[in-house]
Amino acid sequence: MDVSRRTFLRKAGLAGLGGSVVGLDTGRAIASQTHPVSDDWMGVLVDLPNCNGCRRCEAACQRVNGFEVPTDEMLKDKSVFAEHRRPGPRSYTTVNEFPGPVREGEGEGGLIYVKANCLHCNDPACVSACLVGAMQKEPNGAVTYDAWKCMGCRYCMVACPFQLPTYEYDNVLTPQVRKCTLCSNEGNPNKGGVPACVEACPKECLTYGKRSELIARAHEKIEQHPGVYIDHVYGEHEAGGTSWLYLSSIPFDKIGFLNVDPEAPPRLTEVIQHGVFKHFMPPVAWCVVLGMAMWLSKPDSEQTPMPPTDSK
Amino acid sequence: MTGHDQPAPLKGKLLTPGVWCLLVLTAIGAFAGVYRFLFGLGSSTNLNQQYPWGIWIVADVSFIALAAGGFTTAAIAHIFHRHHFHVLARPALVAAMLGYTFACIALAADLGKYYNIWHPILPSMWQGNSALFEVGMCVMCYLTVLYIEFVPVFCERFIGDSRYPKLGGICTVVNRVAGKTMFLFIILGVAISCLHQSSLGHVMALVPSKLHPLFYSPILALLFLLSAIAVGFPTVIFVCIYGSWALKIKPQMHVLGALAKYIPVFLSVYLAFKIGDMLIRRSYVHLTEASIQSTMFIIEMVFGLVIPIVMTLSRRVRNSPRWLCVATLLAMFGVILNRANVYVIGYHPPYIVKVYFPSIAEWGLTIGVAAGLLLCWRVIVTYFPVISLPGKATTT
Repeated sequence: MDVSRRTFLRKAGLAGLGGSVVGLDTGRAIASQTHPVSDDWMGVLVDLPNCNGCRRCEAACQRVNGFEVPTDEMLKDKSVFAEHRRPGPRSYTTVNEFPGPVREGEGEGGLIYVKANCLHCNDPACVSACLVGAMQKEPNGAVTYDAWKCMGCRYCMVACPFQLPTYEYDNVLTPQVRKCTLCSNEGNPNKGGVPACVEACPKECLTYGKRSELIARAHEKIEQHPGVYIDHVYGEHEAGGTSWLYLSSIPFDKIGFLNVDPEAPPRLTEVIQHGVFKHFMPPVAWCVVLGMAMWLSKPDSEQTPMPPTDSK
Repeated sequence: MTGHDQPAPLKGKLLTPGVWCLLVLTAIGAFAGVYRFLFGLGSSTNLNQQYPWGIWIVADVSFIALAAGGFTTAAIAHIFHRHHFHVLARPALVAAMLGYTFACIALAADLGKYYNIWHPILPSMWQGNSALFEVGMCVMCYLTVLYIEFVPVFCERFIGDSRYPKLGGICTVVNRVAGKTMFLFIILGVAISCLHQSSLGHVMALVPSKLHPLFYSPILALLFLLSAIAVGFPTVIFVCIYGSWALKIKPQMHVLGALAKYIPVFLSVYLAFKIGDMLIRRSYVHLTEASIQSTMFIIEMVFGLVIPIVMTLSRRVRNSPRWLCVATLLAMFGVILNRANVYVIGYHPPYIVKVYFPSIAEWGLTIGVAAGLLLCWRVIVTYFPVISLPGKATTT
């Protein structure tokens, strides 16, 4: 086969373009951006050893959100702890019971009660996931939900490492994603103030305050009472840090908490996402490359000679 | 020879027994759809708080992956000017156009508030950090490009048709403009497709803690892109062979067999990246755990990748309609299984109350949407100039 100069240049041009595309895109690799953490963010410190499972926090949450409020009779009924209850579309927070540590010579250990709800992450996966921005990190640190924007794709539920957002599957026409709002949603009587659950807690279990101060307070408590607390503030680093922080007397994975990496999920994906769309240049460059390929590989003559067919 | 075949409406008998089957299945799907919209997701699906995504999402991403045949065929025929494959461009385009359309229909059924599906159009609702945002915008754009690419097919049907003189006149003008600008849309189509095929993988890269190690990877975007490109030609070939059998015409093996030569190349590149990714992340330790996930991974690799590669390396397979059909079907099955693995089977959330398995309505709608797609393809190739029969000249 005759390799004319033109054919050679054409092939070399195509090869060069191919190589430059790879270089262009890898050259866009950017160092991981750190997500800004605001000192104005509020949070709640949950002192688990102090919780006695009274569930007044649940009742208060139900009340301010317009859901069914458990009566005092229902609150006294401890059989509710027989099954592990997760937060749901009409119960933003639940308290579950776990067996405590069995200490030598003390017989059965005490029971541990754990309040579960949205942890209002510093760098929320749900906020990164939501394509219409229905999930937002508010200035006060709360992660709120805008039902108006939502189209119900439920990506936020897939993304959350703590499996917290819940869906109103039984709502036919206007289903919403439902989770704790840190009492920051519109129409909440406690908006701008202390969350209802914190207000309702009769023991020194829930403390509302600035996240940075709560972390300091938590470490203070650990230092002052090493026999009471294990040296781990859950939420300080998990998933990049959360606004709900927990102190416990026994390892967290024994009381229903998840082992979550300190890397916030959005840090894994947003770098690539932003790199690929930096000023739209890579997609435009790719179009230009394709255009060049189209032009360069155009045959000289009108009729394309047939490539040798696969002979039988 | 087959240099410039003329695409023409097939005008064969439409209501064959096969088409009746498709009609019945589509009707079942429509019934399931009505049920979903009347009674909601809770009643019609087995989705729950721990498993928000199920078979409908798998169907959406699978249709989109298989529809990659549209842009890969457009690339080889028009960007790289391999005119030998020109005859495949229109059947591939129609398959892709329908694939994306029906993916959007199935998506609308899955969305809780489907009437808000247009929200990503509004800049006030743009949240650019989301991989799903990229998917949504690109799918919208690409669907538009696909319909624009279909314009010449539509116009040619009515140009010179004495029954529709006015429409024919408009079509003549529109077709002229389309012809001059089509190269732009071909390029855009390929670029946009690359973006969203990879973004569909990037969607699950946000969920490392809940994905089985055999299926999670930081390079999910690249793996999804490579697999979409790799399954493009198998899908087109399968559609053409099976379509030929259904339409009682001879499959054009000299074109399909030649195209099949690319299959082992692209599949091998994808396989290489999958193996490389497995080695680097050391996820191979999970291969022997005999779980559903490890089993599905092995099935995906063996039946969806290794076997099709070995088969399509053989000239005898490439030239045999029956064997090529099997090989391409396996490749398609492999990619569908991969999407199911990454989105549902390999997804293991915490606090599981009930493991997800699709409900009857979910199966019904999925099968119905697939049948509806085949039905539309059948109708379009019957009444519009899509298929080129060798040696047949059109009467224009």
